[in-house]
Amino acid sequence: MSISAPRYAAAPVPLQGREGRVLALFTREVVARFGWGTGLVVGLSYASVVLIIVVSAEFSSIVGGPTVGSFYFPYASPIWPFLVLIGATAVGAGCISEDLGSRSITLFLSRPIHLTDYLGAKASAVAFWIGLMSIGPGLLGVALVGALGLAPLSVTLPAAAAYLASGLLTTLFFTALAVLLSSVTTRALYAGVGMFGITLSAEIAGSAVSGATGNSAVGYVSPIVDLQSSASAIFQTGATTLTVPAASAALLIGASVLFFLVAWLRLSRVEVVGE
Amino acid sequence: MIPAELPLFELQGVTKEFGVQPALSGLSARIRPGTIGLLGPNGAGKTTLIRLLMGLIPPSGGAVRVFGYDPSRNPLEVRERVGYMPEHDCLIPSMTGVGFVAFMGRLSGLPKETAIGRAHDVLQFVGIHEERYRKIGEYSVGMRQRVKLAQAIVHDPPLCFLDEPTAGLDPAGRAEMLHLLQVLSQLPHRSLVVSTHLLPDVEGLCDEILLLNAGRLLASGALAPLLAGHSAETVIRFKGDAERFTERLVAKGLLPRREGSTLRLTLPAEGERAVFEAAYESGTQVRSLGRSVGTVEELFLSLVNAPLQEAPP
Amino acid sequence: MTGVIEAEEATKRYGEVLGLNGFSASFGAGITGLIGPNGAGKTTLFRLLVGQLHLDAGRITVLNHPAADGGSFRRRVGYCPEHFELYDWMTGSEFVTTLLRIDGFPREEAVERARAALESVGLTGAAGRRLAVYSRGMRQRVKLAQAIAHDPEVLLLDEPLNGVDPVGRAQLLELFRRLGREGRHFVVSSHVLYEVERLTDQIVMISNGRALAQGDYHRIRELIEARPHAIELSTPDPRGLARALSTLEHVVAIEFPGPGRLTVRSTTPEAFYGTLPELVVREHLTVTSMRSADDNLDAVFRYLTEP
Repeated sequence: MSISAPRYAAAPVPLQGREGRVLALFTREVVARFGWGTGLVVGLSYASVVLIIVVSAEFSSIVGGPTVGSFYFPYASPIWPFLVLIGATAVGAGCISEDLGSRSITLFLSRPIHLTDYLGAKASAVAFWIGLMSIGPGLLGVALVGALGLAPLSVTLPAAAAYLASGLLTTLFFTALAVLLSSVTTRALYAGVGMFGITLSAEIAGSAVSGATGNSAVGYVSPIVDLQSSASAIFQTGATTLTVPAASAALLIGASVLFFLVAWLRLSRVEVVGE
Repeated sequence: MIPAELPLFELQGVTKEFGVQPALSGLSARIRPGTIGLLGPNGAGKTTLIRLLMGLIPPSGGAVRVFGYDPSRNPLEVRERVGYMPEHDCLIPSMTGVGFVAFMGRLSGLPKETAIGRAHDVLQFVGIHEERYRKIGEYSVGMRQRVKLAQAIVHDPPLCFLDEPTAGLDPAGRAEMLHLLQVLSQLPHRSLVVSTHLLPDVEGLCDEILLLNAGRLLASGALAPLLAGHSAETVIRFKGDAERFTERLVAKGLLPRREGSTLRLTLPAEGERAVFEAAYESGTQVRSLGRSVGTVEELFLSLVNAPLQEAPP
Repeated sequence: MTGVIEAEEATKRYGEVLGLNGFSASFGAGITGLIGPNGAGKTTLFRLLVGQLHLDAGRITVLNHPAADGGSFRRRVGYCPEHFELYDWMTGSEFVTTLLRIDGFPREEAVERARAALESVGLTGAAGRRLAVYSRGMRQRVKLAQAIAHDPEVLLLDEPLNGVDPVGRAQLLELFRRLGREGRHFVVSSHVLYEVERLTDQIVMISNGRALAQGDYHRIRELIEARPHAIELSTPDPRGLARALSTLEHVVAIEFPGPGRLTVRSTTPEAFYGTLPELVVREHLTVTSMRSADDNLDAVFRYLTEP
């Protein structure tokens, strides 16, 4: 081993500001979050959604021309949001729990960064992948439809905007859920199980129970019902939904904010210097 | 860079309470740059003090200054100048050694290229060579300790907190780590605060100590004067029949205390002759003889003054 | 003469991973230090001694019983492992009492023994609190308490001072010495060699699954002949002392590193230390201090493990 410690006789290197450090966190996290699970799901979602969009636009153009509302169909069944849930779990379940389990979070927080920077970078990295998966396919499909001349610009542009908006809502909610559950356990597995468990039971409660009891207010409990409802309004399908779309959207946004807050509170109690 | 006259950190009447029991009360000290031993029994408040100095928690009362900054108001400025080597496991097993240390450097504000370069430098210094390209999950205990040290110094901080740096290391690893810390402590403009239960390590390494007990400061300042003011015992290492040797010493009016292969006693002036006489008479070999100025351990125990059989709260 | 613990070509492997590889050693009465690098096989040896593991080859006996024996013989052995999952929901006294009752002690006796054991390790005040709130040092002491509570003849301690603060270390070292004086036999494994020195001269050194050396570590040092001992002496009359010492044939070099100091190099330190007291007394010499950087366990360890 070298017996002389590295000496930095030159003037001290000007340190990067906060943006540089957060960027470092973000880029590293984006790379770290990508695993075979993520890749599989992203690939699947693109393939499936793009295919379906193009095929059905093909059919609609034969029938009488697609409208913005006809692009709503990915949200029409719960399968699409569940696909995003699978992806969100693959990406996000381990994002903070790994750091808690290895206790490397204590090193992160001993650095000159705020907890907000850490949490923000983690959430953004997770949101990056979830967004890629939930917004990307729709936009790509719409672009192809436009390129193939299957629908006019007056339809494709609003449709693209609608995919963007509903995709953002989807991304926001699932990111927040992943971040919250990942921050309360040291095992990614538990966080993942939690994400499924909560969404699944909420969906059963929301759609099945409300269908059985005829009480549509219960529908608000299920995030998937809320997503479908909001998307339905965004795509101007004109169909009647289980819940009031505006309220559903507000609920999703409110819940997401709450999840982030709880995650922040829980992480602020981590003992950086301890036994 | 910090001019030598400015204090490293200052505490003025610092208190910290968690609920009813104060973790720290009335701490005042002015510590110069150098190598400082942070000592105290479990629960004395060492961990709380480090948290305060790093700006992780605010004090309940009093003032804290690190490099002139108030850590509760400017935590980031303080932490830019501070490195931390925890006792607990804290490495990411899926990252490579160099990748991890460089990443930590970037989080401390180093630009990307600089961070990578320095990561290589510090890993070379701590003695991790080709293994730096392998994942940390494959490292041995000794290597992990060294990576912990590397990430603490990668951004060249003028102050570094080291929590039990030799924990878990075998004797060879301990010796190497202590050697590394020695080299680090000789560098100008680099201060270390070493928190450890192994007091002889402090003797070899630290110029100053901060001794805490039950949230209060028992002693602070340069080590040598503190030790010199302390009553000195002589330590004899011997080989042979302990009973006969002790008996001969007692016959000469001395009162030795046996500890394993050593005897401790207070010698009058020029009492060494009596020791050799006793050895000759009992056929014992004297292996070492030293009128020490008092070890850190003796100082510690007498100041903390714990009665036997009482556990810390 | 059989030792308290005897091992003969003991071998234990975990698949490809080495535990012990033909380990042969004899642990005598009193306190023996077990030292070696990480991964050398110390914990494997302990677990074999308490019967948690079984040998693949060779023999190990404890107090003349095969180590793998069960039954009442087990009560004569106490074990304080390095890693021990404690039952956090129990209090200190409940924990020790429960383990004693599992051993077969009747309730009242178990409670009393637990109380006495916790007192010896200095946990009387905390005995009523749950283990979940114990600090590292306190958890270490609880482990020790359960190891000594049943009054075993043989105590196996794996890194017993881990995480204990200096006050506790001094107290526990004194406890070990006291128990050793009472006639118990200890095997203590520790990386902090100067603390092992404060307990005993007798060591067994293990490396790579084999015994590297055993016995009095001074003697072991002497056997490493290739390196003459360097002994530093302080005296008001270095020249006079040097003159007297140079008459000894095993002294190969004498240096004067500074005023009032002398460094002597000897190829047979046993002879040097043996004749020094007589020389000092006969020639009316004055030696105010004496030390050898070589005559300690760290040096022995270094010389034996360096390639």
